[in-house]
Amino acid sequence: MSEFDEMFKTSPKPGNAAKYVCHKALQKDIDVLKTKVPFPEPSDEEKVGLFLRKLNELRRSRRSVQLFLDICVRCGACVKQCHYYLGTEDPKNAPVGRAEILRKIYRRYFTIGGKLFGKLAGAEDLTPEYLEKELYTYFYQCTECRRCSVFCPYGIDTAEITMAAREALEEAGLATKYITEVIAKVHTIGNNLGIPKPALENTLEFVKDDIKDMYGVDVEIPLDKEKADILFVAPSADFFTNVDTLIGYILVLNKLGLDWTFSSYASEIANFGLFFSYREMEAIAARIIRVARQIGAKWVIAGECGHAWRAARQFWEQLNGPLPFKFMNVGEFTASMIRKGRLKFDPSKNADVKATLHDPCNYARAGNLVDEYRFILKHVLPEGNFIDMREDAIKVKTFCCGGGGGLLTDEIMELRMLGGKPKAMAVKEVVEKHGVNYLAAPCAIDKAQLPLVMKHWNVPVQVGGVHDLVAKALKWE
Amino acid sequence: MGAITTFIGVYLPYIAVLVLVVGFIWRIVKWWNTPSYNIAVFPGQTSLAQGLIRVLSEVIFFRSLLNFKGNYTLWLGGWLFHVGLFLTISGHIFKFFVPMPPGFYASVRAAIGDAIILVGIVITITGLYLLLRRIVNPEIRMISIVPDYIVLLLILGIVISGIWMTEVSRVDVAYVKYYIQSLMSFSPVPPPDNAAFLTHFFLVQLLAMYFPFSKLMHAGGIFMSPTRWHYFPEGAHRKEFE
Repeated sequence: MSEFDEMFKTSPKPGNAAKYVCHKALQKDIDVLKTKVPFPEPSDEEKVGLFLRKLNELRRSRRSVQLFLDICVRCGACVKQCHYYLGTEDPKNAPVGRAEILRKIYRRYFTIGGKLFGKLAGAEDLTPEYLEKELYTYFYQCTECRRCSVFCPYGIDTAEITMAAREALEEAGLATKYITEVIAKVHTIGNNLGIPKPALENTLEFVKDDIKDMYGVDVEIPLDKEKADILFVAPSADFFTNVDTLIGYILVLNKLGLDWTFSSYASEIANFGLFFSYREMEAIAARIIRVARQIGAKWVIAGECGHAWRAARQFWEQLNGPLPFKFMNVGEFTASMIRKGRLKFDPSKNADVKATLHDPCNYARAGNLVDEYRFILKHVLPEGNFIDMREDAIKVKTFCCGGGGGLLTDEIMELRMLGGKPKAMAVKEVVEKHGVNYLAAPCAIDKAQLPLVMKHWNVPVQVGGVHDLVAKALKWE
Repeated sequence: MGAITTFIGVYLPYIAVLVLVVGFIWRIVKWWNTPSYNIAVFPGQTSLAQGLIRVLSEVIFFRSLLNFKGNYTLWLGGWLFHVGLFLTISGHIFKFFVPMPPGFYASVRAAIGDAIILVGIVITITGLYLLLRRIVNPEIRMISIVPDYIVLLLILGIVISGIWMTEVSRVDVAYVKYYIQSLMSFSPVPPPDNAAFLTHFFLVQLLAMYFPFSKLMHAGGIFMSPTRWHYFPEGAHRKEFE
């Protein structure tokens, strides 16, 4: 039996994950958030009431929340589908166990059975302690990857429950340091990493020189052009740590000779509002849409970032629409250009690369974006150098890297490594069987999380983007 | 006819049907009137037709349970349990409410004999399996709550008393039909004087009244799941660059 299959032999260990608690938000970040959307700071006594009021509001305004709270039969089909349950074996980390934390409160205050029979009907009183020890702790141990939803007979999506719980927690003044810090940086500086415009200009200068050195090509890297057909929005991590991926975008756009630009105001495609609340998600997306309007962009192209693609694909039109432009993911863009014959490659440049693809959860389950990246990889790699992992770890059944959902923070590093185990075991198989040496992960969070995970589980593989390989194989003539 | 028999046989049926019908509709309408964001889980739905196929494949085949090998036993148990319930309920409805040529049921009975009881036995066995896995499997035990057991026990009680009534205490089925039709025409005659029948009938009424307030509403909710129904028609998002 392989290590991957071995992983599914679990035995529940209650409370095993109770020690992984995200740091609470700092006052300075809350102050920033408050300038955009209200962020209350209630006393301990008020918290409970505020949480319940918000929960009530959410269940009445989102069918997903109301329905998913009501119709779960606790069949347990989802239990072994969560990477955090497989990693920690804490039953409250099983999708149904996590959702039950909120359902107990819902039943107690909003259903007849719970009001009349309390604990006997599976209801629980809400106390300030329950808010912190149960709701805050465990709803910040969900990466909103939605894998459970694929296996649920009713399609119950724990991400919807998690988002509702987090939004209600926010109302009660409970949020994590990491997420609020990131959102505060987006509101004040323009991107998650807090790279200001001068630093961005510098970086792009360096990148331009790098490209000249590496590929002998003179490229244009427009920033803040007044008018452009295409607004390209990358995750800010690509300007900082994943520069090879950035080079890939720039080479493709230059090769095609299109009229495009980066923006320093909208210098972040990532949208941490998805991990926090619908209204934050709308406020963050509004920055990109504002710039696109200003420069008269016909297209917005999103860089390699998983959750950002979910925010765009599923929510831009619903929350910020109608949009005056069309948008696509850079994977779809490059694939489309290859199909039209406008990009040619020399795969021998990647002869030393044997790659597999990690499908970011939000591409696969929220973006219908699984074939494009495989299509690109097959064009830029020599024949036979692309190998897929086992069927239950890719495409719509892809396992989370363990760092999504706003959990990419150091204080829960141990949890992140445990959560990354299923993916690591699946990668290990293709590394050992086929000699795979490159894990292509077209997502900024993956690029930060997976190298740590692979090291932790002793899987010798390099992690990088898809456009890194595109850059290397692109024929310039 | 004792006071309790009168209550169970003459008054409670009307209350139970009222609670079930009004409660069920109330819950569906409440879900329907709650705004739904498009949160489709891919792959699958890119058109309304595909959304419909997806929902029906879940309803008829429990398709999502087949996505993981470890869930195959649950699939088999759960599916047979539900198919059994569906056949049984359909049979009851046919027998009591759909007029058939005289002799129809007698000929059906003659053709399949006591095999009809097999359905009841399948429900009993799979129902016991569903109950046992909640008790034996530590993971399922930890996520189970009291109502999960109550529902299964109620259904098992109904099925076993139903089998008992027809096979062991041999209730007069023709009179049962006459009695049910008398309830329908609002001029109830006394219920059959048979303990198994009264137990069966009483438990059914309890389940009916509990239905709208319980997880049994998954029977309606499965048709409305936002992750399954929704699809993304091509809006501002494009897969081809022009």
